Amino acid sequence: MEKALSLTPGQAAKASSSSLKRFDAVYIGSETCQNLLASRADVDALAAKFKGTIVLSTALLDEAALESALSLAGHAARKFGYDRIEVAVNDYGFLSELKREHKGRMKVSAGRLMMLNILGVWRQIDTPYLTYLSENFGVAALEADNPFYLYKRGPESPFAVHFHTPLRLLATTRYCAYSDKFPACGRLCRDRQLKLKNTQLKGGFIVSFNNGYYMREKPFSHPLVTRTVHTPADGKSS
Amino acid sequence: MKVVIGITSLSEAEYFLKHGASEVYFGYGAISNHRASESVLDEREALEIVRLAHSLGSRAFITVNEIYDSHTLLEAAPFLCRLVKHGVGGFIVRDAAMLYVLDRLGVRTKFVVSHMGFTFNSATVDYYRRLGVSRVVWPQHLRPFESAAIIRKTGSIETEIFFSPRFYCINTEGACMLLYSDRYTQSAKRKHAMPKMFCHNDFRAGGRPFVMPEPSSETKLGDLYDFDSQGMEYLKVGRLLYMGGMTQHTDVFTEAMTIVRLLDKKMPRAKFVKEALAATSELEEPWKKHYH
Repeated sequence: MEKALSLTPGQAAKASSSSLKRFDAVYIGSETCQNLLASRADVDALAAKFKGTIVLSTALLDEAALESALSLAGHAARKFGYDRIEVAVNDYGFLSELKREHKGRMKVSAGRLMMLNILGVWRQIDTPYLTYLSENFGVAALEADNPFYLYKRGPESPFAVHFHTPLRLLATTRYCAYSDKFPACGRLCRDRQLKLKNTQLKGGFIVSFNNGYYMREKPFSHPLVTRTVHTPADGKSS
Repeated sequence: MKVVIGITSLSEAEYFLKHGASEVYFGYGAISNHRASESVLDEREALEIVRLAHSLGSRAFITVNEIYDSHTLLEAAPFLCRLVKHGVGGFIVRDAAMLYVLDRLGVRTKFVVSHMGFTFNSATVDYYRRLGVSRVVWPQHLRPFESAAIIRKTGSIETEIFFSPRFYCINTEGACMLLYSDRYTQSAKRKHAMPKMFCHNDFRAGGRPFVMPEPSSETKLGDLYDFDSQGMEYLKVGRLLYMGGMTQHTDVFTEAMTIVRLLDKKMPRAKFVKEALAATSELEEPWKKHYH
């Protein structure tokens, strides 16, 4: 079982080499905000202090962000090799362009937003849509955070599952809670995680983080889970 | 710009097509379609809607805008083939596997990719075009400067967008698991009230108020103006889940028709926004200050 850590570019910049040693892979970027796509410098800096697999986390992408993401993926593959780079993809156009530009050599996984779009609440991972993505775009792994996707499934699926905890994605928005000038971004969120409370949540809370809304999820084991991905979540309001 | 409206019965189809709607669309109860309780339940009625639209020189689309398992895909295919045989205007879809299955079955009709298809860039437009799609419903969170960038790359493309002042998810629709709020029940009793979903609740974060961010009605109407300037063809009025009876549906339809007439006058943007705001003055203003 691989262990991975998911970080925004800001968090990755602050992480020390020693703190990353115990992980096999580090995700850098964001699956919910295109403005938190890592830069080339962010990835280079991470690669200098971490020797394992680097996973580029990407969100839904507008035209400009798509160009940036393609450029970043190309840079990372050229500089560090296809063995060391993976991309978590949430945008169908980006998936398609990665296949075209890298001729199937780039390792890609279907991101959590894509999974939420494809699987919704109840469906398990045998939908023909995922088979289509696998056969046409080489998607071999799924980024998942919802045990529902895996209940009652045996180990026969063609997909490896990378299971994210403790934040399970419930929804995302393209409108920033900190700025009304989307998509212009001063990274005002500063990696803050807001604990949102409401009387209907009956003592619980959801977490607002980088344009996503999450609930807390417990670690989950299943034969298909080949990697656990941890997102730092202190649950503090800031 | 023309108005496309979601319907749930033959009588609604007749009313809207005779009062200026360009096209209608409906879901069929036996095929999951994102608004199961707002679907046509009877196949005969579905075929009648298709025939009616034809007789009035219009088109009726069926929405099959979910991701399906193998069983549902195979069960749905014969019915969809019958609809094509009877002249359905096309299918509103977001499942690539369904497009594959229909292609293998030799089904030739118009395919429209739903706003839940996440089309935010030209590469995604191309992805859907390769699957046979010829019209794109822009996602609600796509801004006009972003669609302009897409159109610059893809060239002319048939597009559609929801009547955003009335139909707008503050979180990305098609990937949302937030629960509906009980508060909806209270607000829906008021005429013109927006349905209160869980996302519209007031939250508190660190002892301070927090509201999930949403553009103002002014911004949404301004965006409609810009989309129209880019050549957008269709304005979509949804099926009004949770908003109840025909009266409200016709009210919203009338509003949409008014907005289209204002757009057709090609007035300056600021004047359009002012007049459109007045025309939709009954709209509840959901905008609240961001958390800073």
